[in-house]
Amino acid sequence: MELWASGFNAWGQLDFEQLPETEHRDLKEFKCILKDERIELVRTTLSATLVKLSTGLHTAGCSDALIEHCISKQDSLPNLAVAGNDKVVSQYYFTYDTPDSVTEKPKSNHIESIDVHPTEAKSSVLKQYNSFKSFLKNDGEKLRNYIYGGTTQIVANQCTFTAFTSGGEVWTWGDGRYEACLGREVSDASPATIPCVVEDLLDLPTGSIRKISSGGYVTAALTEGNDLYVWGGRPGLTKLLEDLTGAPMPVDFDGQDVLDVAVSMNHMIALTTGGKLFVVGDGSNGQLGLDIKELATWKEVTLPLKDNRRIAGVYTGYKNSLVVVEGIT
Amino acid sequence: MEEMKVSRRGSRLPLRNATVSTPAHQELVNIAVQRASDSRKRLELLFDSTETTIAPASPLQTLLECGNAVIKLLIQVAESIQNHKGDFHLVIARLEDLINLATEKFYAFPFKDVPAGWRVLFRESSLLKVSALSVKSVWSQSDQDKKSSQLCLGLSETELDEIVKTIDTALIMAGPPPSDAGQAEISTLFRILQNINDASSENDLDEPAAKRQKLNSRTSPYKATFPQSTVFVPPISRPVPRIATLTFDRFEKHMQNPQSTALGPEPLIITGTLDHWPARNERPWNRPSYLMSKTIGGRRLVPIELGRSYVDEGWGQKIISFREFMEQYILYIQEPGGLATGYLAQHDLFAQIPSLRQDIAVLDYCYTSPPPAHQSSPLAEKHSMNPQLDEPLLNAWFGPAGTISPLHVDPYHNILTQVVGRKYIRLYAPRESTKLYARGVEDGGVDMENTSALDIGVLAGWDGTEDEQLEAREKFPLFKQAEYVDCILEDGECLYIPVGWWHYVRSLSVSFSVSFWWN
Repeated sequence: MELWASGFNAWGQLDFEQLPETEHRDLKEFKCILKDERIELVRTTLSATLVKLSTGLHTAGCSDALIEHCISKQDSLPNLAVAGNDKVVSQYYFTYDTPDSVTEKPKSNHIESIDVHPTEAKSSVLKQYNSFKSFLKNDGEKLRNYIYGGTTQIVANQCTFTAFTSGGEVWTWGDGRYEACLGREVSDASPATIPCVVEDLLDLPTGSIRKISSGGYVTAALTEGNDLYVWGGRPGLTKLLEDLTGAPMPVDFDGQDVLDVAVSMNHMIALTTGGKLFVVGDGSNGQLGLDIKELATWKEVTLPLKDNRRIAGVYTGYKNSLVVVEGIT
Repeated sequence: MEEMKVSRRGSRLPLRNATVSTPAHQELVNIAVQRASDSRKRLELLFDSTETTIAPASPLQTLLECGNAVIKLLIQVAESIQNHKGDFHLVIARLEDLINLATEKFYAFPFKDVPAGWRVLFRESSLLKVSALSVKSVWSQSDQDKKSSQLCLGLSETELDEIVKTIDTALIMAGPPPSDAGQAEISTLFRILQNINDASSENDLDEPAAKRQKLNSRTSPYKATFPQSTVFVPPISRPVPRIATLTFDRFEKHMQNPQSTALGPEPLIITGTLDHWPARNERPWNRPSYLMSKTIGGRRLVPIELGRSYVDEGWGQKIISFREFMEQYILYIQEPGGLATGYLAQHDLFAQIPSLRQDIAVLDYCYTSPPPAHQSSPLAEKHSMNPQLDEPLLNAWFGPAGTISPLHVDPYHNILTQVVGRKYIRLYAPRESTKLYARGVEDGGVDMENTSALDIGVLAGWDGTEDEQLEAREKFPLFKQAEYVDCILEDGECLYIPVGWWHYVRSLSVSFSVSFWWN
């Protein structure tokens, strides 16, 4: 497998080979930065990239508290999301039907997915913390007491959290100043700060949501039938897509299905089922993989891959794009 | 990051075919290297500190909130700048990346919750960027750069633009440095930059006139005076009394022993008081070139209000360079349907540019003890809660003909001094308030109690269509019963506006006024 990347690289987060510290330049086009039998992208942060290779976990760039924590747990912590405003949300699973009896006890509520695998869990609790420090100290508050079956994925952008449940519902919550990021109405019954359902994403024509990605002030969601929906925006900020609003809208790539999507601070990258890669947004750090300062509409970018290779998935870090390439078997 | 643009005229300041650097530029280079070196030392101490060993007290301490990666990157660029080695463009790009990161955090948190570290990062990165730009001329050229450029000493106009813009943006976005030392550093920088600009202007005088015109086209085509205006001049019906050079005692008496106890102290125009101000003599504010020189060749950034009046639809604010403001809004009369009116309004320009403060003086009148707002003012209680001011509050009001301040009440007694140009002003006593339709608290919780819903220009028949005028008079029937006084405040005059008095202000030419609020 190969890892290709383009974009922001101030801390060498795209340099898996050791270089002198001052030599880290942004990548202005996609380059293969890593080859291994097995490559799994575990986490990206402002200053580092954490990958799982056949030889174990490897970091590029300047490690930070979140990366250290992932390494110490030997886990990607998929149930942990960190927003740009420092807030952290984590999900804890239980085999019990009613986790309250456990969580009320001061110390015993720090049960993590290590104890119970999500597939075996019957319920979960979402907890929110003001910072990663308070997360480490387990000093947070419960957001939702009891979620039957638990949520499947939690992501965050600058000020909003988005999660989807095994029941196919998408929930959003966060800073009420940026209502468009919530993709839903804010009211007394469904306040901004409490996880509430995005009704526009219920009963979609091509099935329920199977993946979400969030960055900057935008969130993207993919359906089982490979349709892409995006919503968000912040007043005063150039829209990532021309018709982006606070209501989830489908994105059309001339009818092509979308296999994968990733949203970053100010750009977005999507992969079609036909293996084509599309980018949009800011390119000043090279994150589009094209020598373009800004793209107002989607544009295809091609990677010089060998014949028997194809793109398996797309990811983003802070103002950069990462693409996992696999051999065709 | 794009490469720095080469100056349009290819000229470098202060000497165009320079082989030596001027003392002012040398001073800038020395300060920049020193700043980078100090910065690096303090950051290294911070980086080596852990949670158990507390870092030595430093304004940079809050940077720990931004994480070690950020501190590490700052150390690297500071080292590069200190030795002026490495890739100059990459250093600038990384500092801009850090400034962008801090800006992103300003939006991610509600204003009051932004962790202090991000403001410090914005300032620190900005000042390091200033240092890098300052030492650009002595930066070790990489092989790649050597091919295209010769060794140039001095500072290009583009670099000077960028340096001033970077400092002013940091002051606006992150606020002034909290420490005295930090503020002194900013003052020193602006003093040196002003000197570099002044030296270059002097140098231009040695050039033949035609060449000077071409090379220094940013400042020299400025006409000797502001353009004349042909705007409508409202008639005066109930003139505010005028009195020449009033003594301190008589002014105090005017306030303390009003003619009418039902009205309280009344507005008064005092003439002759500003005659000795440098701004009206040897440092003339009515000369565009003088104002340009005081703003480092028009490079300082100023906040501008856009739109005819702050209660209009589509009203907005932006921050632009003083040069852009002069060239786009002041020096040329706007075509109808052109740019919106731009107004440098209610801005403490004198804190930003202390040397302009030297051109004016606080009038003695502002050291009197004025009476509280008259009991007939609905805002009297609110205004009596204002804390006692140690010093009068100064604000600059600089704009073209046609700016309008809608009918409103100030929270303090005001002496409005007219340094350049003329303004029509209409005043209503506090007891007329019930006929003036104050706006109150509006959607979004903005308190507009001090602003009237009346558009005096429309109601008086000067602005708008006949239909609009008719509609306004029907909507506000009490308006025609409200008694007022009015005047055209000429340059060199000042107007006393007692607290609680409603006033509508309309500029009749390019106008520069300074207001002094006191209590």
